[in-house]
Amino acid sequence: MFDFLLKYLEMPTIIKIRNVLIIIIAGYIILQLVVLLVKRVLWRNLNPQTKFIINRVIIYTGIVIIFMLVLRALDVKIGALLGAAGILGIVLGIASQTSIGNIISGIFLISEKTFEIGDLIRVGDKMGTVYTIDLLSVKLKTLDNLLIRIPNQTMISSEVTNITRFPVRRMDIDIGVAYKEDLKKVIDILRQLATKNPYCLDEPEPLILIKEFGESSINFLYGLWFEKSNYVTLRNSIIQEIKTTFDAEGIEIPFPHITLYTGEATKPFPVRTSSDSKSK
Amino acid sequence: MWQKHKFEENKIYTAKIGFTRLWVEKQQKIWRIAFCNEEDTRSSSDKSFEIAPAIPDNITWNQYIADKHSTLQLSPSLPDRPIVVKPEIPFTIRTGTNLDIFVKIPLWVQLFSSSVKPKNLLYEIITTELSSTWFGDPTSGELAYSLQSGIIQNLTEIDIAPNEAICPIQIRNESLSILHFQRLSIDVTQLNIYANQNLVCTNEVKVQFRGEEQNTEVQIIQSVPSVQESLKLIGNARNLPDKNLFRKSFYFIKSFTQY
Repeated sequence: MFDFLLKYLEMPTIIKIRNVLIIIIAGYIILQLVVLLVKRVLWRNLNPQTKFIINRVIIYTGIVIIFMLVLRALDVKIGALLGAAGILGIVLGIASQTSIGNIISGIFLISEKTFEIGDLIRVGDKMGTVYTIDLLSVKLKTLDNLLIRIPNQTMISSEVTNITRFPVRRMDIDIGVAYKEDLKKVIDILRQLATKNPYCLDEPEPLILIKEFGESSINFLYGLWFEKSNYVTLRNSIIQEIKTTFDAEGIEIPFPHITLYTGEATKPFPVRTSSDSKSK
Repeated sequence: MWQKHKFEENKIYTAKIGFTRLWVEKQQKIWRIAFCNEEDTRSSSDKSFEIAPAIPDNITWNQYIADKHSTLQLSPSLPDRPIVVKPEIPFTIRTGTNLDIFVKIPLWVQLFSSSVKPKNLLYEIITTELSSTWFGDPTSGELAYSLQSGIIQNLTEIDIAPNEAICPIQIRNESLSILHFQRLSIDVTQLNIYANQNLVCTNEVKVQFRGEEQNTEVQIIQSVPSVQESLKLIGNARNLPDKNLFRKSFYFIKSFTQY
């Protein structure tokens, strides 16, 4: 057994293995140092998306260089290997058209800069924070803490809404008031509420629009501008304030009523006129 | 008021700064702090710390772990974002002329354990709730506080509340067109606070308007303001001031509210 090992582990082989190990360990350490150095020098002013891309580029390039050095240390002819890799590449390319499509779509997505890591986006009926943008897919973390993987090809062909791209947003609230109400008074109240609420920006000014004569109410669009991180606080506070103020001012917010009757399907509703009841 | 105050342990003290009533208690390493903002009465005056005769039930206490020092230093501060001021009636400034104005800026109160150092900051009391606004373009502007009416032209006629500082501003129109001054953004985070017995004020600010398409030059004068005599530094700027900074300080009303 020992003789068998000695036969194969001649001195040149041991030296090669030693060299390979040195290249891998030294390469790994140098790669980590480069990543650390880049983080120290560049990281402060970069957004998470750019950090992610730079990190990936450094690591992938480093791995390729280490791999080539290992091959060289093993005396593998790189030219022949590249030729073989070319043929293998064609075979793999045909077999993995979808993956390549996803990779190319990913490059377009990154170059378009429609969204970055940390942005809240909506893709179709899915909404979440961009968690990672990988070679093949974009991963979203939903607001209820689920992970959604969307292939890059789907992303590029879908309508994407970036909700948090700009620092300020407008929150649109639909409000209906009864037909009997004084519309000027309603507008004044809504304007005052926007001015008083600390989460609502003074400028851009709130939009108060009388939208339409609805089925049972006159409908308003109440658009309030806010700093994007104040969505929940503004929505909770302003809706409470609208309700409280409308109640105090006697302004009615109509809502649909449903009345349930019990009876048999074949018989008419038991309607009785007042004159009938009097005669009885 | 803006000095070190020593407190005996397990005794509740109260003080009045502007419209803010403050309660403080020291318990070994813990500072217990509570405050409430009272009505805006111009006759309001500061009262230094004394043992509180009675403590209202509805106040909320906050607790801060610090060191064993039993001294607390109070320091005035300006709001933590730029302030956008709007004149009640817009001014028009002709080419080559100056406009000297004074802006009333609400003062906040910072509470430091032992001495004024960033690491010792316990709490900052917002004495006046300011309305937020957006200054500039929705994609590239900045978040600021808005002041509806704080511009005065004559310092002698000013009715200054105890929790307000005066910022002297000179606006010069160096463009070839008329300047319709509708609103101005002042980065108060770069201003120091000075005071004498009558007045609390900030550094003087000089604004040079060079045209709608060009950045406005804003210069913060670093020396002690000359609006009154014997003014002394009582509060440092939050951010290091740039001696000269170019920024869009004026804003010409644009409508963001198209449906």
